[in-house]
This record gives sequence, C-alpha cells and structure tokens, in this order.
Amino acid sequence: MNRESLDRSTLFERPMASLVVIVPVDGPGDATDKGRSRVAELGSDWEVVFAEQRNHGVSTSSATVRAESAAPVSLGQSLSHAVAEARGTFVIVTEVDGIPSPELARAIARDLLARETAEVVYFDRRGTPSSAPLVKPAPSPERLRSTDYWGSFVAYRRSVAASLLAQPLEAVGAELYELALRATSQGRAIENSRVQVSPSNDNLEERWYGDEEVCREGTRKALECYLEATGGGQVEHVGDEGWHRTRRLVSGEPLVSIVIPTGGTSGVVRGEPRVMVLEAVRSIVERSTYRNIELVIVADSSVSVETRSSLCQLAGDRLRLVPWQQPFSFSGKMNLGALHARGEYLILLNDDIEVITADWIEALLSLAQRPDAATVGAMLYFEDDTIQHAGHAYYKLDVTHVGLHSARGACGPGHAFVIEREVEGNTAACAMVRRDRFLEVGGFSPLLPGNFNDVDLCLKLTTRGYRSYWTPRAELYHFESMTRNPTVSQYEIDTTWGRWEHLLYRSDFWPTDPHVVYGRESKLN
Amino acid sequence: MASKDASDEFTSSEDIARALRELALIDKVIGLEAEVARLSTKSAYPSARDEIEHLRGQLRSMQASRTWRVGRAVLTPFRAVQRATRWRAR
Repeated sequence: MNRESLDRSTLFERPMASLVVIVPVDGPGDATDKGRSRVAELGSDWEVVFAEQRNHGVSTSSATVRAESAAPVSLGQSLSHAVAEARGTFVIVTEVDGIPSPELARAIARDLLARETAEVVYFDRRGTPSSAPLVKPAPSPERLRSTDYWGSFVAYRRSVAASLLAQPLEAVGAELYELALRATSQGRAIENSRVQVSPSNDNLEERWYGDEEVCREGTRKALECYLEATGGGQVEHVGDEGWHRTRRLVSGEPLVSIVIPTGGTSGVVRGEPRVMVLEAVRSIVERSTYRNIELVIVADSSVSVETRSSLCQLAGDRLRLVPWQQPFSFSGKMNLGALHARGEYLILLNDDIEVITADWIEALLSLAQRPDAATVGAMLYFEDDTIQHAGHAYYKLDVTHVGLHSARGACGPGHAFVIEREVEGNTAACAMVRRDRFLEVGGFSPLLPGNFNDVDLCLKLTTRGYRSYWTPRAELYHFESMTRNPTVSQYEIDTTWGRWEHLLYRSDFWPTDPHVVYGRESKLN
Repeated sequence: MASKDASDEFTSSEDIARALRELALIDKVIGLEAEVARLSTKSAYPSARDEIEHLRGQLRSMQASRTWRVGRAVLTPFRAVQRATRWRAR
C-alpha cells in the first residue's frame, strides 16, 4: 500500500481532496463555471477536476486540459483522465449539484485527514424530511455483491484510484459500483465515515444514464467480474430497486453433520400436537435437496423408545443417536454431538424447527465455505410467520435478534432481510460452522449451559479473525419456547458480559437500533 | 478436504471425556483472554489493573500446565488445516 503523507505541510502543498466532477455528454453548458464558483467557496483543501465527456477533456480549477477530439468518451475514460490530473490526496467522483457545502466540505476534509491508513472511505447519508439518516454498515464484501450500500460519494486515495483505473472500467452504466467492487476484491483498506453526505450523491449512475437497461447490464457485468475475482458465484437477477440476487456456489459435496440436542418433548403447532424432534427430522429428510448429511441426535434418557424407533425409520443409516445422561446443558449436548460428528461441517440445530426451503443446506454451505467463515445463519420465522431471527446485533450492551417480530416478506433497512450479508453472530437454533473451527475455540462454553452460548461462540470465533454470515435463502420455522426453559441465570449474564461487554455496545454490521420492527412488503424482482 | 472421521479419533468414552475437558479448557483460556481485553478497556482504574494482572497470572499458569500442552497437541491438526486453508484477500 502506498501511504501518502498527511501532515499539515503536505496539506498546504496539495489539496486534501479533488472533486472529480463528471459533466455528462448532454450536461448543461455552464456546468464548469457553476462548479468552479462553488468549489472556490470550499477553500484550499479542495480542488475540482471536470471530466467532460462531451468535449473529451479534463479541466481543473487552475488549468484546462483538452484533447483535440470532439467525440464523447466513456465515463470510465473520463474518470481515468481526471484522476491523472488530480492533485488531491483523495479523489471523490460527483457532479456539479453534488459539490458539498463549505460546512460539509470542512467536515469531510477533517475526517479524511485523520484516516492515515484508509485507502477508500464511504460516507453515511443525511436524512430528509421523509427519511431517517442512513447509517451504513462496516465494510461488508458479501453484502456489497447484493447491493451498492456504499453509494456513489466515495473518497479514494488518489494513488489507489489510479491503480484501480489502470484497467479500463467495463460496466457501462455501473462504473462507480464496478470501482467499489474492484477495490473490495483487491482487499483495499476500506473504512466507513459517519460524516453524512447528501442523499442525491448516492445514486449518481442512475441519474447519469436514465436508461434502466443500460444500468442493469452494467451492474450484471460488474457483479460477474467481482464474483469471478472472489471465489466464484452466480448473478441470478439484477434488480431495479437497489438490490440484486447473487449467490456463492457450493464446492464439492462435503459431509454435513446436523447436530440436534433433544429431550423428546412434545408441543402443539398449527393446532396439532407433535413430537418436536420427529417433525424436525421429517422436514429435513423429506424436504432437503442436499443428500450428504448425517443426523447426530443427542438424546436425553427422557426420549421415548417410540421416538427413537421413529427417528431410525425416518433417518435410516444417516442417524447417529448419542445418549446424554447428565443434567440439562444445551452447550454440553452440542459439544458431545460435535465430537461424535463425522462431517466437515456442522449444522447446530434446535429440535423445535421445521425446514421450509429445500436448498437450505446448500445456501448455508455456500457461505460456510468462504475462507474466513465463522457461523452461517438462516432466516427463522415464528409460527405466526413473523421473523424470529435474521442475525444477531449488539446495541448498547443488549444482544438481540435482527428483525425480531418483523413481517415475513419485509425488505428491511437497506434490503437487509433479502440479501446475504455479514453479521455479528447467529442463533444456535440454526447455524452452520466448520467442525474444526468449532473445536478450535472450545465449542460451546460449558459455563453457559442454557443461554448466550451462541453469542459467546460467535464472539470467540470473531476474535480469532473469522466472520459470521447470514442468508435469507435458508428459511425455517422456529417454534421457540415450546421446549425451552426461558429462565436466564445471573451467572450466565455475568459470564457473558464479563467476557464480552466491551464488544456489545454496537454492531459493525447493524449500526442502528436493531429493535425496530419492519412490516413493509418486499417487491421481489 | 476429506472429512475427518470422528469415530477414528474417539474410540472410547474416556477419549470423549478427555476431549470434552480439553474443549472446556480452551474455552476457559479464551474466556480469560476476553476478560483481560474487556478490563484493558477500563485500565484507567487501579482496581481494573490489579484484576488484569491477576487474570494474566491465571492465564500463564494455565498455559504452562501439562493439560493445556497436551490439549494443544490433540487439536494441532485442526489448526494446521485452518492455517493451510486460511484465505487472504490481498
């Protein structure tokens, strides 16, 4: 990485930031004059570089550089020429109406000055009378392949921008998104700033092109390149509402061990009594398309002979019954099951679940095979079809399920309930994890027999450098509390917060209040 | 990567019991490290610094114990695989 000096003496020699102002082919004739006068108000920290596609030229606040040709050039070529002319430590692509106010410009310059190691910085978005401010999540490569949550107003360190643009941009209609994906695939040091920029700065490409088909095809091309560069995947659908359906692909067919602790208890679901573990296993066996599984059921002595016999009939030779003869401990049972498991991957599963989507295991596995994967979680619904879990979030020392009680089908903020993304952690009601990583961190803590053991597991993995993911493509019902003792002991609280309190003030991947309930219907593309 | 057959590793209840104890020990060590990290964020307070030192002492004792060294040896294959397959995006 090329660090550029950021001390004040350098600041006086060159601007902190160059605004690369795109003047489209059919842009207004007075754009450059208007832009120059606005930038003049910003002071010496800023310069403007006009990338004029119409006249195939670049002009700056202090000089004019124009080529002979009158033929319009691509946006990518304009950007490349403009960055070459820029002198700022950072470059930011915008348009004339996106030039920040003097007050905002000062805030941005101060913020960038403090970022000594950042190569790319994206900003939060200011609210409007009809919408709240948009506080964006921490850098999330998997989320980025489903939605351009960075927005268009992004500061690239000039040397990094030049390097990224050394290879021509090919995604016509989505050049800025392509730039963001390229920076991410190269592992650039990306940071999120809490300085809030104008909402109009976050969707420039849409306004420049105005042709949905052009933008759609450009986006598809950008995503295909990104997936190819980061381990493979598939673009299924490019949406018009800011989110896209892309997926990672499963490699091979590794054995997946589904570990289910059970006491063989019964409950009532949809008005009908059921033995919970039997129906859970039935739904797995009858609905799952992934075949290379084993079911490791850790059974209390209270599990009846009839239930054991039914489990054998349902699962056949894929069943491994492991006896549990000690007092209740969800953690102990899961650890015992994991040690008996033969699979490369574990699915930690409650017995009060019911599979909905047939390819739920493939969806989990495609993310569990990411090189840095910790746990991978699923979309869980209560019996009434409201959301029970869409990932964990931490907020002011509270730990909660994202989306709790939100309506099934709701899109969520930033399309969070319909895209795959990074999360702080996942509930052990349904979570996939590599078996070796589970054992590496000591599995579930025996100090937390009933509660917060999944929070603890995820944080143990996170502090070891792994990252948890969540997918909406794996959907299950979780008939929570049917078989669960809801009592939380003070000891469990003291143990969990005694270990992790310093990490529970906020969530990197859900930076706003996770207790908000969402009920809008998703317009699925 | 081929699956490792757990039935080859653990052939008796004693093996399982030993493995469970090792998991508990690993969890305990990681838990202590987390507590030290938590208290380090509050290290301005003299009582927190004392507690940090006390916990660090416990950690050193535990990591010097034979049980810990044996447990690390048992779990070394998992970590070797993890190192071999860890991905760096740069």
